[in-house]
Amino acid sequence: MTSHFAEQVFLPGQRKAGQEVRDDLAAAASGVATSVRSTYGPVGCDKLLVSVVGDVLITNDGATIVSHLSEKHPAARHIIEAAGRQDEEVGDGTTSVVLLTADLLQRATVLVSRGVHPTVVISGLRNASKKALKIIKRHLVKSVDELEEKTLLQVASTSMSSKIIGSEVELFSNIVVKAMQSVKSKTASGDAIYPVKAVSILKCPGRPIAESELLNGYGFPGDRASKLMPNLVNGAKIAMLDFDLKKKRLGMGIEMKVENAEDLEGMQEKESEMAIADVKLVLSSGCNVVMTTQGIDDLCMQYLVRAGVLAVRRVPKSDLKRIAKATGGEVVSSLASDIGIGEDEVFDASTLGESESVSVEEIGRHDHIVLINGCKNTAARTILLRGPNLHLLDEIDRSVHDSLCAVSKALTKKFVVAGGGAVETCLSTIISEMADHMDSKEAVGLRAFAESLLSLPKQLATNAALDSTDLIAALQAKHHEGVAALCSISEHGSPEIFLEKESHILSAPEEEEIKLRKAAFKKFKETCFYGLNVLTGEVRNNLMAGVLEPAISKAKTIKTAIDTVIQLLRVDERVIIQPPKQDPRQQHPGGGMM
Amino acid sequence: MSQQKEVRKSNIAAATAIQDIVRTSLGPRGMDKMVTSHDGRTTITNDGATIMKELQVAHPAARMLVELSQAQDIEAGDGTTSVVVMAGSLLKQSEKLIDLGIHPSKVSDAFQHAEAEAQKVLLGMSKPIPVFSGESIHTPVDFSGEIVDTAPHFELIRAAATSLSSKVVHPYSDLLSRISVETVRRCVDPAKRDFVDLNFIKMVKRKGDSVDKTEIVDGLVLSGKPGDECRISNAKIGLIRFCISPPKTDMDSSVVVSTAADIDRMVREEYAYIRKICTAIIKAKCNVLLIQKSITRTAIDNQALGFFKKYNSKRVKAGKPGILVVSDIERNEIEFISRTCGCTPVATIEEFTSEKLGSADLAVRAKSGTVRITGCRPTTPAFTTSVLIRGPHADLLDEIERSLHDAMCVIRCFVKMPFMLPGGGAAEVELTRQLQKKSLDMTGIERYAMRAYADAFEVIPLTLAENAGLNAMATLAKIRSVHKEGGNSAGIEAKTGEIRDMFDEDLRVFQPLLVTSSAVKLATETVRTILKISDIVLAK
Repeated sequence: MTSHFAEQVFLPGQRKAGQEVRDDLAAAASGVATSVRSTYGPVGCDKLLVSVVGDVLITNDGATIVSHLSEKHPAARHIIEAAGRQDEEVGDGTTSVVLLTADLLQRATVLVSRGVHPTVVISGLRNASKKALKIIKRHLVKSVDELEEKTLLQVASTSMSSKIIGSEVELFSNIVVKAMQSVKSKTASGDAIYPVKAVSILKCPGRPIAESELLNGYGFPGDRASKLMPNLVNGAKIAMLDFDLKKKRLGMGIEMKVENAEDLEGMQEKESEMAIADVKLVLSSGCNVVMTTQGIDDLCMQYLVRAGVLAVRRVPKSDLKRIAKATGGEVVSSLASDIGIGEDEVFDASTLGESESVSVEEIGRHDHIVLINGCKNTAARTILLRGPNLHLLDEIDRSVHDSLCAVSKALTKKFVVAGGGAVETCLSTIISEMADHMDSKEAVGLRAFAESLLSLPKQLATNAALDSTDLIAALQAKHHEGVAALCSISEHGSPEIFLEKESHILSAPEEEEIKLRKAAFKKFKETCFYGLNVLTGEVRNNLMAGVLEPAISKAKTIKTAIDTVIQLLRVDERVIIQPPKQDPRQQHPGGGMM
Repeated sequence: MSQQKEVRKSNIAAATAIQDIVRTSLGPRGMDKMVTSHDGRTTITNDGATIMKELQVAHPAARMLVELSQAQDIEAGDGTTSVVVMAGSLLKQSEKLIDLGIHPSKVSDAFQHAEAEAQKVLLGMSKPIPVFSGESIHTPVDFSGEIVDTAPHFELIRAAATSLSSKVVHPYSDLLSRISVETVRRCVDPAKRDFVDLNFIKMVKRKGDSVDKTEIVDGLVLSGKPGDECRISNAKIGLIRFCISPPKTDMDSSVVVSTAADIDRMVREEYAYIRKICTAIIKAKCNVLLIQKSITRTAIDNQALGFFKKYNSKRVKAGKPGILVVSDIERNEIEFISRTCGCTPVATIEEFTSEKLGSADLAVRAKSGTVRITGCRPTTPAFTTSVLIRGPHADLLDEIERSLHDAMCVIRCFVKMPFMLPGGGAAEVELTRQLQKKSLDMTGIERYAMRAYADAFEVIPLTLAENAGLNAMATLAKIRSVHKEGGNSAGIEAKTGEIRDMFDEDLRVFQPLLVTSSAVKLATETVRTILKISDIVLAK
């Protein structure tokens, strides 16, 4: 009865409820997952994206693929946004987020269809993710300080392994690590930070990828404003302007009325005069390089050329700000005088930035870069990428950027985990053990989570054209050895012991007991870093092999995926309202129903 | 069937259809709705008032329920789903009475009487709760560690936590509940205790960092544009509503320039004009300048910024703080700011004098652009608070803001009416039981009506149990039996599904009396109105 009336209650629309809406959401989610599935892992494939207007993009980067999808379904959009956030916050692990979310949602939906109430599944999942994060933090991370530069190189190369630059992994990981280390700076509170933005990436088509290099100093694409200017200035004093060096134009709403020719000439003269005065003022500070975010016209140009100044126009403001910071100068936004001093305009020489040299270099047949070397304050680095075409360079840019993010996170957060499915398999083994020991309904949520985690290493193996069933079984068996060993020493064999701190696990009242515990813990530590080697199809200790990822990326992946799944799982009804076709007052609310 | 009956049936059916939609979102374990509006925007929410607003209901009787939930939102700020569920259930009950042949207006009158009885029962069942007594406004509060029994306002914090328990942000409820209690406390004027204006709580959202970095700022927070770090102690705050940029001519008029000297003059005039304003501001000893946003003009132009920048770098070299400029202050923030800092908004530069300035101990701008002005010293106590919300992404920030607002509403209810009722459906079960008992002493139609009215409230515990994944009827029967044996605050603990005393020391699930009493009142009134409608006439 009510459902019949319900149709009359709304404007013409569509309602879906219960299992129907859940299946719908899960299907949309796996749709997104399908589009990135094959790109996952070091032997993943690339995607060719063609936009509506015919632009072509070849990429292996999950975040890029997902952000280009024109999927309209709200569930799909949710996952896309979640992946975008992962990219924003960590810069890595976007594909994992999508895969994990879709798989979890699929499993949870099946559970609900079998009659488990969604709230039970939700609390199970939440509980499982809390435990997982704790286990990662307590047992599966390795501190970066312990392993130093070698570790960083490994983090960089793991992040790159799946990308097109995989072939030049040694070169690029060296570039990335060196670049990141040299831009180290301190915040006001004294914490060391490694801003990814301080490394500028330049793309230059032509020449092989292997000729990419790390340049000293800050570079940006640009050229001299005039060919008559020098292309190298040593002992540079840089004026950084955020205004035009152009003939003065009057503002809107101001009208010019001229009655005779002299007046017109006078006015034009005046306009030029004012611009020239500005240029002279700037030059009087003793600068030999001028950079402006705005334009420079021919009139002003000749003065600059005459003074032998290297001028660059249309410099992006973000670049200019960074240059100001590195060279100890200031971006000047106007020539206004100090308050309290004379009426005239001034240009303060103390706002000039200093560097050893500023040079303009040709990097392609037509392209030039401006390179500021030996900046006074902080080091800045530029990565010059080379490659056969722009599509490829864009893809290299994305890979290098991901890798920079990974190294930056590893440096700031100081922790890394073993890659190649090690963390996922270990967590899966422990959590499914926990589910077995649990006596509440929530266990189904834990089990679903444990199974879903395995979908990541499985996908890794599948993409590498390996027998995933076989390989994952071997990996699980390996992890189970260690987990079982540690469980055996705890009370009733409870796996909750994994939530304890190492020192707590190793403490016991009796000497004999401590020995036992140490042996079991050692066994666990031996196996818990085992992951896949997708190139050979073997199982190995990935910590030793140097397949490393920043810990924060793994933790965030799990957190983001769980949050998204829970949000979608809480939906039990979907209402789609269509635009009104007619004036709603015209519909007779009660008419003809009985 | 007669026309009247038909209309009534249709009204009731439409209203109960609405109830059917929102009922699954009731309680801490309620589900969400995904509503896609006709312009393609999708909202996922379990807030009753929001769902109803998004649904765009057309049927007039159903519309009344939508308005009912909005009325509850205004009155109590919470219980927007419950009130609709209650109304729907009351309508179903009244339908049964009408089917028995009782005249609708009799039913309506009987319900009015029953409602008065219900209010008495609710008040009798409630327990007083201590609300902000004693300590001074500026007692420092500890936001770390576990919430213990001895914490000040423990009861209120638990109430806020109950409100937060159904939200997405509930993992952070320890912190957020304390924040909501503390902010409301700071806004209560001891002289006017029953008056709390939530407009005096300003929530500023800043992306970045994790949710547990959300904090109360004793004073003012502004989200300015990113800039250099800046720290000014002993701040003198000026709030201006004019722009520091060259004046524009009116639409129709224009400035006419005819000689070279004119250009020169005009440029110099503009320069002098800006300079005059800047100098006046500095002369008034203002060191924090807040500028209202303007649609038609630039609030502060490059030239003026240049003046201040130069002034700043000179001051910094001399080891003194410069001036901190924040532009783009929204018009609706002006009152809050002037109240908090004790500064008078100034409309023209001539009026800009040092007495118009507010003062504060410290003004700090972080690199991200967040400006905090703390230790404000307004001449009259401001009773305002700012909350700086942090979180990784915009959706979550909005959700935190909404959740905090709801929790604050709960606290506000307690300030207005310092009594609490047991949550988890306990109050409703008890209400049903006592009203049923009362009906036994009555005669005639009233007896039937009272009985039906009483039964209607069982929908709340039933729905709660259903949403928690429990066997609803069995659970309700169990609660009833406990109540019969005197345990009249027994309800459903949604997390575990157990029946427990809601006032229990380690549980404490309760809600403000105001929420339930206003829900009962508003639901009854709406139902009576719907019952009395005998025809729908379409007007042009």
